[in-house]
Amino acid sequence: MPLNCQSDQHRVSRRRWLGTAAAGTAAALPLFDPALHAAALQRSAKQVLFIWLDGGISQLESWDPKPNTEFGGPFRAIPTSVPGIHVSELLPQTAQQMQHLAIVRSLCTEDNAHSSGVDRIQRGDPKNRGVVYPYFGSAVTKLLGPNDSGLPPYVWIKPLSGGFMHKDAGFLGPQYGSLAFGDGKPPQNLLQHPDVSDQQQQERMEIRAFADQRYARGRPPASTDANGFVFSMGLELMQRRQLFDESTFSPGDVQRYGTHDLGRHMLLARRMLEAGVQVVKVNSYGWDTHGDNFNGSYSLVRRFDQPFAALISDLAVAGLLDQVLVIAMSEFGRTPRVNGHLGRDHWPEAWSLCMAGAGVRRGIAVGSTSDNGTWVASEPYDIGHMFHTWFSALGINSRETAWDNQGQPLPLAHEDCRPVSELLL
Amino acid sequence: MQLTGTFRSELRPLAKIPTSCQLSLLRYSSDGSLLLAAGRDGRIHRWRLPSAGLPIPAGDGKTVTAGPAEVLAPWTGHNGWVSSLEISADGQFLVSADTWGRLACRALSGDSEQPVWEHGEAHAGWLRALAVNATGSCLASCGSDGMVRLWNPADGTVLRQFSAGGQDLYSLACHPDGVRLAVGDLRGGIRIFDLRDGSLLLTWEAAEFYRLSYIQEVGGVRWLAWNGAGSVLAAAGCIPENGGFVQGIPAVQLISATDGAVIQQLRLGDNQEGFVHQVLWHPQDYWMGVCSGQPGRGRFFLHRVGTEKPFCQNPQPLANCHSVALHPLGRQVAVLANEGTYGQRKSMAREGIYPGNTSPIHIFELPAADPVS
Repeated sequence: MPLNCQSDQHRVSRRRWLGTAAAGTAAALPLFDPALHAAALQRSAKQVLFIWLDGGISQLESWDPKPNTEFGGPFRAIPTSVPGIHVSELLPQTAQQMQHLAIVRSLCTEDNAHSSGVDRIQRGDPKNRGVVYPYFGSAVTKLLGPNDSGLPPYVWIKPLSGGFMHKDAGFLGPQYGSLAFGDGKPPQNLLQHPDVSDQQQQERMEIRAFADQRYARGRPPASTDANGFVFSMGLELMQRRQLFDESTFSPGDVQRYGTHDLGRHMLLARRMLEAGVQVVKVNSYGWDTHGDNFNGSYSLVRRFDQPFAALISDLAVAGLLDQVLVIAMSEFGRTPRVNGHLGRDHWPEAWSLCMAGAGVRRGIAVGSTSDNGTWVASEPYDIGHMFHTWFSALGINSRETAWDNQGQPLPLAHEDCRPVSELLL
Repeated sequence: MQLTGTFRSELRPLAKIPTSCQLSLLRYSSDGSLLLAAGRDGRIHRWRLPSAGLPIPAGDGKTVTAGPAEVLAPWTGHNGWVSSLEISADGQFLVSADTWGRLACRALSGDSEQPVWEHGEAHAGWLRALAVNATGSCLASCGSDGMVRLWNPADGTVLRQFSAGGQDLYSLACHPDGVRLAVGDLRGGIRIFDLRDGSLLLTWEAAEFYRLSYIQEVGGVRWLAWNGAGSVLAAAGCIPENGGFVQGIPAVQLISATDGAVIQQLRLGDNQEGFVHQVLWHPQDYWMGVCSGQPGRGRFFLHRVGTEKPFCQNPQPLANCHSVALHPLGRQVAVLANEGTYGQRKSMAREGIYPGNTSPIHIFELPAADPVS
């Protein structure tokens, strides 16, 4: 059945944003209260936390260690909270959360270049039909429909610059793009100028809406819709700027998540999920460890371990893992062979990811690789299998639902793939 | 002894010894009859060589073979990678460490690989460096746990332990006076401790050896070495430009032991050449080093204090040099390089062929001193 979801369903009405504004300014953001937030969030739709480790985390230094083998590297494997499942010693805190996690160790994908791999993986590597598929986050935003959080549905917390990232949306149209918070900061110039009263601000909005309507006449709706959508998101955030106030995080949480970039960004991600954002993507850069991979992984993986474990634990304690699908992955893994710079190169042939939460079985490791980690030894899974699995975990039947791309039905995920039943509840 | 003459500034290749895996560090035994290598396969690889060094090969000198190197059975018992090797002051024992924290001492005479003593968890995690003091009374170790431990080399008992700044510790060097110990860490910190009581004597910050790139801490003081007189400490590493690929300029700082002043800061290549992994002082008071960066890049070079350029380096490119060992007679060196391919060739994957890389050992005769004419 083609999915018929109109873009204006995601537009924020003036009434709605004014209502949100009143609520937002009425009270300062409370600190994390598991019971309170669980109750609030259980009323809303499913959510996604997508952690992207850009460049390629080494599976051998994380989810699929092969200690004391030819390509195993210098690190040990350690037991986890689930008997029989081991991970790298660089994930000591995550190991204690294994009862909530599902590891996939049998990914085998096509692309070993960043330039194409990032897009292909995050778009599910569908068959080429001459259209650009949406990133997973954009797809989920469209498929789940709007919730009542009064916040942008798809936010991206990342180092460096922010802005509205329309390319995520592909053929869904730019309004399904992500709003990126560069270094976890809100968009610039978000605050209403103190000399502008609320009344004046409202009048300005009405004038702007009038001008927008005139501008839109005779123009393709996609660009003007996106323009208006982004502006509406800015207005929403204007009322919820306390979300970004790092001083309101408890010192204990700051220490638990880590004061480095990824720790700060994961803590902000938790807050965004608590506030009801449907899809939160967190990027970490610098994982392309062609050189000095082992010292690099010693630094990188441990800095991932700390906030990832903290976030999984917090979501579990709050009962939110039933509705938040968590995915941590890269565009590929890294070569078993160690090059002369003591690096590992790109390896899509046999790699791993970790997931947890909504609809996902817990405390399992699915698939396996050969003894020295070079090849997948069980049934190989492509990214299409993962997309079907994730959609299923969110309650979306990706085998029977199709995109409606201006009348052209398109499968949600690669039709040669299927959900991995082992991973699903 | 300071050599005052000019040098025949070339190295003569004597042998190229193939290996079966990647190696990290080379050592000659004190009598020169054994060449030992720390394996990234968890084994200690051994070759028996003529004590007087390798003979000059016949022929054009361009094509060298393994020569008279006799391959001995490797020693096992370590896990992960063998990370460091050190010969006891009396030359009778080999102390080895690994990335899982094991420390073991074996007799070099005979073929038994049974340790004289060992500790399964001498450090929590990666044991990165070892050093023996000149008197032979103390073996020092350091690791990623930020600890320095001092051991009695005779029986492996702990003499003393102390934190050396709390950071990941990369390198150690015992001063020729037998009392001082230099320790280098990830963030460019260099600290001098008194071995007798563990007290901190001096601190330097070689900040250029460190960078925080996104969430990756990159760099480190990868090697420390005192000159024979104990007047200069050489600190080696890289000026990193980024994480991931780790592009960076190989660099060495020469530091005065008397006042801590930096005598010389050297940048020894472009940003593809990466880390200076090891520095050794020659008894003739020049120093030598190896560097390794992007795959295929690397050099072995000889340098005198005060000069900007090396007076000698390997005659043809050596890929990714990670270690150098000086033969006890001071005329030959063994240089550890890398051989193999980039890791991600898919054709090899399709064919089901996936060999690991190896670390051939190149043995050179050092340049001889010529009298000034």
